[in-house]
Amino acid sequence: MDDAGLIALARRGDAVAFSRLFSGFERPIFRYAAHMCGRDAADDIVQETFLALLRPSTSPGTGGGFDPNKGTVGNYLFGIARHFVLKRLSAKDLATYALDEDDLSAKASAKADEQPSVLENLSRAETVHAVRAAIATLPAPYREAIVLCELQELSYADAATVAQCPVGTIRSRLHRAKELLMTKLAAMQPGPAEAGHYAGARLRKTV
Amino acid sequence: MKTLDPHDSLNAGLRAVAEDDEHDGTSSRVSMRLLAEVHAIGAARRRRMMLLSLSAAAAVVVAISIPAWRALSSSSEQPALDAPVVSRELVTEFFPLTYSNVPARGGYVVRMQVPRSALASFGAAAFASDTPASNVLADVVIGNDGLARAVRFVQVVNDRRPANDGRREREQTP
Repeated sequence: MDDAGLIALARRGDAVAFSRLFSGFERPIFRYAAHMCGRDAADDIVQETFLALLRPSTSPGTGGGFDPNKGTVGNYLFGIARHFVLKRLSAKDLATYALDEDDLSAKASAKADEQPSVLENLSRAETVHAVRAAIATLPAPYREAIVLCELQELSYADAATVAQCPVGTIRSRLHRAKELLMTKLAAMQPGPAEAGHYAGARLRKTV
Repeated sequence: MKTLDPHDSLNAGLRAVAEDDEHDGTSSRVSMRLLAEVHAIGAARRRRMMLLSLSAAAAVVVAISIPAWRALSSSSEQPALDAPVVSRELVTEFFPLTYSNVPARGGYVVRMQVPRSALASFGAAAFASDTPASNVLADVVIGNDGLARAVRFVQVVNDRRPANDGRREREQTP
């Protein structure tokens, strides 16, 4: 049975159909929400997203229910989750969505630094910690592009559908997000005074 | 000293984050809450379906019973045969009897059966000739003094009329 059939069954109270949908999409939705709003809010966003899936007529952000002609169930769920994510973003974060791409890029004020990244000197756990922290500091539109395209591995078209913007916008946001990340990570290059900034980080010497 | 391209380094870092994220998911509290919601939806739907079934069954019972009740009611009012039978009487004029000239202050009529041969004695042999019965009905007028004054002959005719003639008659002309 396809996902549209599972949604129809779940809305009639079929626990098996719902469990299949939930197990298939719960983790991607959670990760998207966690990167956008933090882990504490992610649980609530997942819950609200699936409640909206079950009761589309009484839930905002569902677009009147799932239409297979408009996209996949995954995109549909991401779209609902995004509605709840935007409700939780700070006013400052929300304001960045209103900026055009040039203003947003200027506000990020980043030019990729060509100096070596600090990442190659870090253990894997430290790398994950550093990149995660850098992503969290990105403006929301850039953060969303990185999360959808790089971490969730959505296609540009799917990411554009979720973010409700043209594919070209997603491409440019992703490009600038990566530039910004590289700058931020380069800035993390520990000098003598900054070495303690990454608590627990064990820097490996390059050979 | 070997260094990675910053882009490659970033992509590797992003892949590491994605792999690390693989283990992340919602707490069991969320899945329990959502499953409870699904069960509640299912229970509500079953209740609705039961109500609908009961409503449909009630509608069917009403739809069947009303025409049946009407049929029973009307059949109790109608005669068994489609065409109602209407009785009427054909009568002759009164023929005077022996004591018809004796004044009487009052009297009464007695219906009785008389031999068909009595018709001939009053010149009415053709009356009721279509019935094979050996007796015919006769109304005899009897005065208060007990003397018979007159007689007439009666033939009861049972007519069958069409059922759809718009009226039910039960007439009997004395």
